Amino acid sequence: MSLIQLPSLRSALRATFVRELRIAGRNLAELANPWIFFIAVTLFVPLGLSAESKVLSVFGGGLVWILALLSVLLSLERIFQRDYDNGSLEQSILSGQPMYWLVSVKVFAHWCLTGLPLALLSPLLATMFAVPLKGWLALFLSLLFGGLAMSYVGALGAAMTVALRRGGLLISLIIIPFYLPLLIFGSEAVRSAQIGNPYVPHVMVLIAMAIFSVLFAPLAIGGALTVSMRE
Amino acid sequence: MHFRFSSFSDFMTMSGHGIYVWSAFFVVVASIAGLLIFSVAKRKKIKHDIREYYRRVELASQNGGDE
Amino acid sequence: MAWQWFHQLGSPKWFYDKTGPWLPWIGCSAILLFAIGIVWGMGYAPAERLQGNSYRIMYVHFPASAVSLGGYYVMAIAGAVGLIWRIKMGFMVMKSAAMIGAVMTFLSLATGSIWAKPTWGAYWVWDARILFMLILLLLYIGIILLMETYRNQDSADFMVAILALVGTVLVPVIYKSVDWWYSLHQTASIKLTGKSAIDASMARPLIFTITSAYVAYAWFVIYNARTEVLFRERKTKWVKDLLAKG
Repeated sequence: MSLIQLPSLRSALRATFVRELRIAGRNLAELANPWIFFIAVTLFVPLGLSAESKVLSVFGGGLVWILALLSVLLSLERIFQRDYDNGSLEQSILSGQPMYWLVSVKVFAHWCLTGLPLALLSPLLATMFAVPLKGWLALFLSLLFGGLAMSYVGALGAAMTVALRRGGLLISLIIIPFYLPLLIFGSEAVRSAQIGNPYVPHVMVLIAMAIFSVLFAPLAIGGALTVSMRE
Repeated sequence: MHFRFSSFSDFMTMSGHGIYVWSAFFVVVASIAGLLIFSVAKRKKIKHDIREYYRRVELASQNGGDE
Repeated sequence: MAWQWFHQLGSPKWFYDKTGPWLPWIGCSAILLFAIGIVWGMGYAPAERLQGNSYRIMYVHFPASAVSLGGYYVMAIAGAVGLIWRIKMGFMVMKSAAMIGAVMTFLSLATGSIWAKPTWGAYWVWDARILFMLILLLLYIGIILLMETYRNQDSADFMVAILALVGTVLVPVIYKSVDWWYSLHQTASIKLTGKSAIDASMARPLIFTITSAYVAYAWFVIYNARTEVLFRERKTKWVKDLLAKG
């Protein structure tokens, strides 16, 4: 009996990453949903809250952050769903490659497709919510790194509910408490920048949270996915 | 240490804040009582269900034996 | 020798037999302690300088808050025991603890809200403690829903244990973040944790009610865990014999 030669970890990870992007590219409608949602929901604000620039600029940064969180929450259900349904998740678990890295790359790809674009779109929303120019960089950076944490922590919620039908709402319920620290530091970063106070410490906290989630979330995610497969 | 209220009715109204103090108290008592009833009922149901299960197993084996 | 006790505790039957006689004692202690604390606190403790008599709500509010937070860790530790040492008893205790913890958290919010009205003028004020308790309630509810939604018992146990553990790590982070936010945005009039110094004469009955809350908590966890044992072990001979008897 010959030993099966596993492909190198690096090539497996690259293949996983490319696959994620390719699949996303094939389903542009599904991909763009969080982005379009992000922009469309801004319509609620002037009509539901206030259209005055003076009023909006007071909490504009926090508003963008809330919309970003909602958009990411929307996209979480689909991280593992397709793979779970068509059996490729099972294949990944059986592939012999370490789950930790496969999971991490997959979630990183998710960030490239949600958190990253949302951060890039943030100047657009900042303009719509009258966030002064001083706050734009803080908004971008906080969403960039906060988005990374959002994807990794959110993926844990997705992994826990992938085997359940109608897991979507349950994901939100589970994940929202864990998103709150991100929101706190993210919106505070923008607020500080707006009034001229230092915001880098807040961004630093977000970076620390991102690093922590990137390092540890895949462990729990791998465990949850393995258990989900048994369902 | 002495009783702080001049009369029982004063105790009931807590010098104006009675409704708050006593509703908080009763919410707690009612919830714990509810939890108690729920726990006891659940235990009863589980025991009943298990007994039912064994009763049917007995019946099934008896009938099976007859055939 | 200590390890032997620990592993014995992991046997559902051992747990069931051992804890049975304890329950009446625990239950009576809880009731007694509560009665003493409440009568003392409601009737014999002095009125507070600023709040008058409404502060007496704290005699039920603080116990609920303490138990809800402590109970979360009981739940998480029980889950960890089940996860790490594969002791099923851990999961059964975790399940019990989730339910009682949720009720206690709800009580903390309800009594806190009732207390807020005479103190700050409104039933709901976004103060750090209320916000944090709401977050805790959501965590509990998420865990309970997750437990109920999984059909496979083992999967449910595992997932919920993971969630509880992740929560344990993140709950202090959440608390610190909320606290920090409030240190920046707190309005001077609402001093949340301004419980300044509670006078000793007011604090003593509180010790009784808080202790009674922990004891009652223990009673409910043990009682419900025993029910869970009966259910999970229903196919064993000892359960069959036990139920046949009475």
